[in-house]
Amino acid sequence: METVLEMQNVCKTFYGDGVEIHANDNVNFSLKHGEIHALLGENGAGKSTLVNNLFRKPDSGTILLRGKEVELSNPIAALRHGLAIARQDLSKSLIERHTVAENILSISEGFFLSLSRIEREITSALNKYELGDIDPKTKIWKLSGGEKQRVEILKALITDPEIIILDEPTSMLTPPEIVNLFSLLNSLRSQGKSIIIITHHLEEAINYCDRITVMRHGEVVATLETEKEKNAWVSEEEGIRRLATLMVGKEVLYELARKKMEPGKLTAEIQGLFTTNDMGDTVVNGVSLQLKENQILGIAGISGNGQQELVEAMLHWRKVDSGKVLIHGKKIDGVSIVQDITGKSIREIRDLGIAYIPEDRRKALILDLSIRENLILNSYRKSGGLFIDQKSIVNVTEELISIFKIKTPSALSSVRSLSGGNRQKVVVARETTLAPPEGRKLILIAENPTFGLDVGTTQFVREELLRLREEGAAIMLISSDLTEVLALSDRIAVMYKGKIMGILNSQEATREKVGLMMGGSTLQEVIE
Amino acid sequence: MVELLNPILWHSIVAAATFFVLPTLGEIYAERSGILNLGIEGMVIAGAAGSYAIAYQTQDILLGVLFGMFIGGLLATIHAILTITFNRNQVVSGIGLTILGTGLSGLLGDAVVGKALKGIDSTPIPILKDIPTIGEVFFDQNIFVYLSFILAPILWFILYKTRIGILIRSVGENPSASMNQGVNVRLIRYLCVIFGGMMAGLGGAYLSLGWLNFWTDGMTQGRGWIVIALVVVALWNPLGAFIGSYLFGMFDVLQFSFQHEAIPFIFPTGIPPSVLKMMPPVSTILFLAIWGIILSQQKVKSIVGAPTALAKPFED
Repeated sequence: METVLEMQNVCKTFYGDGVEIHANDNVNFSLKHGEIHALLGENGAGKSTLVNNLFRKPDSGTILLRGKEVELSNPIAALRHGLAIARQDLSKSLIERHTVAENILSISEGFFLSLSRIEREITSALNKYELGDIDPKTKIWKLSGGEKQRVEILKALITDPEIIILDEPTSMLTPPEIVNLFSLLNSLRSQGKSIIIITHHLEEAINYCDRITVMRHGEVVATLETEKEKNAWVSEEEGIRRLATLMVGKEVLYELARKKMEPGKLTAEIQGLFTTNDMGDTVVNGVSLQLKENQILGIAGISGNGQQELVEAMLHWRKVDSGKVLIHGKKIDGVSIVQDITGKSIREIRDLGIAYIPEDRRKALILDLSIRENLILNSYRKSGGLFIDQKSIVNVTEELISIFKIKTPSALSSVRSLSGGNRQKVVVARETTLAPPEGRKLILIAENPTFGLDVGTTQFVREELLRLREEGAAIMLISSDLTEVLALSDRIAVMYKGKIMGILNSQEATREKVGLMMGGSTLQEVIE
Repeated sequence: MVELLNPILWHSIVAAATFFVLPTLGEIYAERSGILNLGIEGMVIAGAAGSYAIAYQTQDILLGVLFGMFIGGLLATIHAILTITFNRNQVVSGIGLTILGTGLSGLLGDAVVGKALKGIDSTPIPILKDIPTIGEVFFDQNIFVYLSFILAPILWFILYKTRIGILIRSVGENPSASMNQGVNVRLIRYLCVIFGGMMAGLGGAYLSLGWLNFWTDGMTQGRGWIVIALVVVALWNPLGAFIGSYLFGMFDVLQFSFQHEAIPFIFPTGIPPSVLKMMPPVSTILFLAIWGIILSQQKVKSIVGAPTALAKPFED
């Protein structure tokens, strides 16, 4: 097959905070005509940077299109050469306050804006590519995450490009939608289009892609022919392990030892919770859940189905419209005390021993303060009085830094100077060591705690959650990564449009069942 | 009692309001593209002085007006270079621009302070001017006033119904998204900011040549600042520019008419001029507070609020 796109010795360096990051270091990459080519790598391996070189010039290196050297210095040039991209960060790619039609500017022409013509074109393209029913007149902010992602994909396809680049296109799609997307890509391939797909889901690469290029630390470490490799592998599991090793650069332990444990006593309870999002729409619709000691409750679901609002309502970051959050306390004189924490201040809630690892690390850390100061944000009040007990703080923080293996020259360095993984370790260290009051066990709410982390840190965080579970903590794990939920949870609640579609225990939960429920099927429908 | 229905009074309100309409329209375009220009006051006053000086020297009013627009555009270009090309702080640059413009106005207008010049006559529009009251109030004005009537709907049409309009709005909402689709973000922002400056200069020319017919230092009396608030009142919509402008035009004129009005118990001997002079700034603050409360609702904000990328630096 002929090569349509070739990048030779491409380099791209970023400068920030006094460090040079070689995001692409002499990278060579080629795309053949009519193939689906997966670009694999951990976060920060340089995948997005590599394809971005096609939309703004790299620092050095050449780009060949059908054998001819081209200079693609801006997105218009790329568009003219038949390249289109669906980007990963939708907040930088879609205009929230404009309608779908107003977002797809590339097909507008002339002086006057004929929105009705654009809307017709969008509707017919949506039908043609079977991307589902989206009204082109809807404002983007009214769409769900999955719908936004499909608009982004449509935006790339509508220009009828020869080379299609999809950067993490499946992060907001349900498993059935992912299958649909790949069958669309298959049919595009048979029409002679060439496709690059960036992903970190290894099974997507193995099952759907013709070739796989693996990147690590800004360099290409291998390019594999999937068919050839498949014959050499004993099983898909072996393939996944091989690819993971290539991605990380060392053998990865993917197995997690989740010991069998009996659930402990009920420690927290959500009863019929309703709350609204910033727009005033009800996005949590009567959620009831129970957290038990020694148990991880996983909340599966595509992000944007009310998970974040649910957590915020529990922790008083958001007003509860109706419903209750109850904490079951210790027994006093044989009577167990139930405390209603709805509407209590954040400090009162946290003082009951409720720890929180938010998805957005900026919500958990003050970047310009030192690691030491960030580590004591929960506990500085314990010193009492006007002054902070420096000596004990030094001891405590040095201990945490060594236990959690936070890589830093000093406890006094700012958190901003840390890598993403080490920043998350600071959060995990602080939150998991939160001391619950006498006679209570820790309650931990973890929102996508491994989002954007490298494999090593991901493993570390997951093991930490399991260790806490064994120590008796009740953990609520909200994750849009289905693999993570399935691997860690004792019970799995699936959330869709603000409702719990059903709760499965770890034996009965399979990827297929949970995947269907993530798309709106109820537990009953799935079992039948 | 003041004759509130007196057409002459309303005639002067329209004349006063036009001064607000012109720069507001320009600033709406600048802010729609994402650039806040706090230098309106400086561009207006420099435009007023420059246009009066040139018109006086050459005895050519049109040349004066064009020079006023040129001065406004030139000052806005400085702001554009600083904030768009070099990503400097828009607030600091805008305030600097006001100081520069005020200084420049003293220099340009030095020779013509207090010198009389026959300004622009009113050109009554046939037929329309014969409509009772309305004709007298709206259609017996000078060319600037008619220009404001025509420009507002044209600018509204361009913003909402043309390709360049959606590009301007996109750039002000999300420059990264626009750039990813091949829009030249910087070019569009430059055009909008310079257009805003030219409209401010035009407003200045109207002030000295079309409305008050003289030049003296500091003659804008801070009216340029009110324009910034009027953009918010207009909800960044060119048609909305009229609402706030006419309201403030009313305050501007009525403060003179009410001076001899007595209000029982509070001001038995007539409302002191100082209280009336307070009206425009006080009502500006009131307006902004009310708007602030309405716009604090996320849902309202996402429909009629400020452009999302307004005043945010953009590095590609």
